[in-house]
Amino acid sequence: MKTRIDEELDKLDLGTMSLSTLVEEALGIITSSLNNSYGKARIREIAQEIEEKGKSLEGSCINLLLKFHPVARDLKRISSTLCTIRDLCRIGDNSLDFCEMLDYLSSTEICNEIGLLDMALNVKKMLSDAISAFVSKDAEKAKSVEAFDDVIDKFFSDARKKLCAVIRSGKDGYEEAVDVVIGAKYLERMGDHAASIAHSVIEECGTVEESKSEG
Amino acid sequence: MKKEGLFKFLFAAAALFSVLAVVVISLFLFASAFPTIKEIGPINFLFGKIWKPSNDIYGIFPMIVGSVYVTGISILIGVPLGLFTALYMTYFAPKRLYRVMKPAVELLAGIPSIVYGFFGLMVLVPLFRSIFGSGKSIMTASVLLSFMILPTIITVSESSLRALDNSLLEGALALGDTKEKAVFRVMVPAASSGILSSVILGVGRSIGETMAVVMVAGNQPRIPGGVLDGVRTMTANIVLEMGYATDLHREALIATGAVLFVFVLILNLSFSLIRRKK
Amino acid sequence: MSEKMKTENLHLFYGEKEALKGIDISIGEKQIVSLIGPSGCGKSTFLRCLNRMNDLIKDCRIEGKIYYNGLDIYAPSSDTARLRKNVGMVFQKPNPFPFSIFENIAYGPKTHGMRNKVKLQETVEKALSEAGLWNEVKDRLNSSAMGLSGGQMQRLCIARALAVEPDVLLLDEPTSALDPISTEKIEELLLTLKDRYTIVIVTHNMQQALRISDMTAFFLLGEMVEYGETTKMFYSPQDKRTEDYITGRFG
Repeated sequence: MKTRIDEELDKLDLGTMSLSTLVEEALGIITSSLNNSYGKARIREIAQEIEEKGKSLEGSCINLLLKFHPVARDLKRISSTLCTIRDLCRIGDNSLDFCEMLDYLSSTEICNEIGLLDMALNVKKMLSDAISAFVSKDAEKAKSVEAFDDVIDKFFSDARKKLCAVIRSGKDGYEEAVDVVIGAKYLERMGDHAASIAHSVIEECGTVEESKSEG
Repeated sequence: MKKEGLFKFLFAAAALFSVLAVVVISLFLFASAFPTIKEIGPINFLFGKIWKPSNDIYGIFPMIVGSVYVTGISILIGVPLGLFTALYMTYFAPKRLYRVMKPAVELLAGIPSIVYGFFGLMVLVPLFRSIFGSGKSIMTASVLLSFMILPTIITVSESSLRALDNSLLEGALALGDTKEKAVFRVMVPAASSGILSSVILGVGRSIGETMAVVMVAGNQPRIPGGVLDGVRTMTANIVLEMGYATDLHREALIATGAVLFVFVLILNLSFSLIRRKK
Repeated sequence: MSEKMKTENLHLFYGEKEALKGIDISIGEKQIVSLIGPSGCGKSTFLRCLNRMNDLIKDCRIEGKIYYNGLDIYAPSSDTARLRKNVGMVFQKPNPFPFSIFENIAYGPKTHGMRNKVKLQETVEKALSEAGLWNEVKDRLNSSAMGLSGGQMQRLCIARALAVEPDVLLLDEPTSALDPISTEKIEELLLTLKDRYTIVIVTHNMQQALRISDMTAFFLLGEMVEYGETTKMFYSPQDKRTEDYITGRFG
C-alpha cells in the first residue's frame, strides 16, 4: 500500500539520484583534466550546485523525520539516504579540491608517472557502482564496492611511495610531488566515501533481509 | 424564519400556562383562606385541637398531625424500601428478573388510588386487625401509602443511578472494594440529587393522597395517641365534608386546602435548599 | 530481574467469541511495559485480566493461567480484594468520585481497614506527593475533586491508586483524553514511578510507547504478535505484521 511517506521517500530518492549525477560529472572532469582537457570553470559551478542540492536534500530528510516520526524500515531508509547525501557532498568537495591542486602543477607529467589517472578512473567506477547499488538496494553489489576500497587504498600507498622517492631524488619538479600526494589523498578519500555509501546500503538491506528470513 | 418565531411563541405560551395555573390556584386558595383564617383566628384554626363544625369549632391541628404522621411514616418505610429496590434493579438483578420487575413497578405506578384504597380496605385492614387489634389506623394508612409512593421512588432513583457513569463503580472496584459496599459508598452519594428528587416526589404524592387514605385511616378527627389509633388527614377532612359543607364550614375546608398547599411549598423549598447545598 | 506477573496460554471468551488467543507474557519487575495494537485487538481486555476486572463481565470465561508474584490469581484461595490492592488500575477517562480530594484518596485505604485519622492524612499526603499533585491541591483538600482540570483529575486517579500501596500499576490509555502538556506531565510521572512500581500501559500512541516503555507487546485480533525491547521492536521488528502496523501501512 502506497502511503504519503512512500511518495515522499520516492521523491527523496529521485533527488539523491540527481545529486549523484552531478557528482559523477565532477569525477568525469577530474579524469578529463588529468588527460589535459581542462574543465576548471565547470568544476567550480558543479561544486556549487552539489553543495546547494545537498543542503536542500538534507533539509528534506530532516523534514520527513519531523513530520512522520518514522520507525523500522522507513527510519532505516531515511537514515541511509541522509548518510549517502552527505557522502556525495564530501566527494563533490574533494573533487573541487583535487582540481584546484592541479592548478598548482606546471604539467600533469608527474601524475601520469604514478598512474593517477588510473586511480581516478577506478574511483569513478567505484562511485558509479555504489550509486547503482543504492538505487536498486543491491547488497551484493554494495559488498563488492566496499571490498574494492582496499584496492584504492593500495593505489594510494603505492603512489605515496613513488612520490616520496621523487622527493628524495631531488629531481626536477619534486616540490610538486608534495601537491600530488595531497591530490592522491583526495582520491583516496573519495573512495572511502563511496565505500561508506555502499556500507549504508548493506546496513539498510542486510537487516531487512534478516527480519524477512525470521518473520 | 417566521416558523421559528411561531414555535418560540408556542413554547413561551405553554410555559406561561403552567405558571399561570399555579398563580391562579394560589390566588384562589389564599384569597379565600386569609379572610377565613382571620375570622376563625389563626391560633384557633391552626392549633385548635377540636374540629366540630356543628358547634362552629374549626381547629385543624389533629388533621395536621394526622397528615404529618401518615406521610412521615410512609416515607420512613417507602424510601429505604424503594432505594434498595432501585439499587437491586440497577446493580444486582439478573436480566430475566429485571425484565419482570421493571414493568411490574411501572404498573404499580398506574394503579388508581381508589383501587389501592380497596386493596387496603379488603386486605390490610382485616390483616392488621387480626395481628394488632386495630384495622384502620395510622399504621395501615402509612403502609398503604408507602406502597403507593414506591413506584415513584424506585423509577426516579433507578434512572438517576443508571445515568451515572459506570466508570465510577469500576474505579471503586479496582481499588479492592466489593460491589455491595461500593454501590453504597460511591454510587448512592453520586446519585444523591436524583434520589432526593424521588423523595420529594414521593412526599408530594403521599401528603396529597386522599381516597386511599380515607378508606383505611379511620378518620377520627382527634390527635392520635399511637400508631394503632385511627386518624384523619387534612386531605380526608376536605373530601369527607365538602359534599355538604356550607358557609364558614365550607370556607374552613378550603382554608385546610391552603394549609396543605403551604406544607407542600415548604417541603419543596427545603429540599431545594438541601439540593443547593450539595 | 525477577518476574512480577506472568500469563500462560491465556484465552478469554465472551460467550462464544474468543477475544484473547493464547497469550504468553512475562512482565518483569520495575519495568514499563506498553501494549500497542489497533482498536479492538484485545489489549484492554488483556490488561483487565491482570487484576480480575473481567470477573465483573457476565459471560466472560478465562482459560489458562495468570500469575502474580508466582501465585495463581484464580486459585480458589486467592483474595480478589487483596489482588486489586496490589495491582492498581487507572482508566482512560479520569473517574474521580464526586467527593472531596481528600476523600477520593482516602477511599482505598479506608476500604482496606485504615481508620486512624493521622495515618490517613499521612497516606493522602504521600500519595498526592508521589503523583506530583500535592503542591497544587494541598490548600484545598476538602474541595470537590470535580473542580480539577482533566490532567489534574487523572493524576488524582493515579494518586488514588497509589494510596493503597500497590506494586503493579495498570493504566488503560491514561493520556488519550488529555492535552499534550498534561500528557507530558503524566509521562514524566510514570518514569519517576518506574523505580518503585511495575507499570503496564495500554496506549494508542506509539510515540508514547517509544518514549517511556522498556518492553512493548503488539496485539492483533486477540493474539500477541510480538513482544520485546521497545527500541529494538520499533527499529527492527521481527514480524511483518508488527512492521506494517508501526509504519502505518495497515489496511
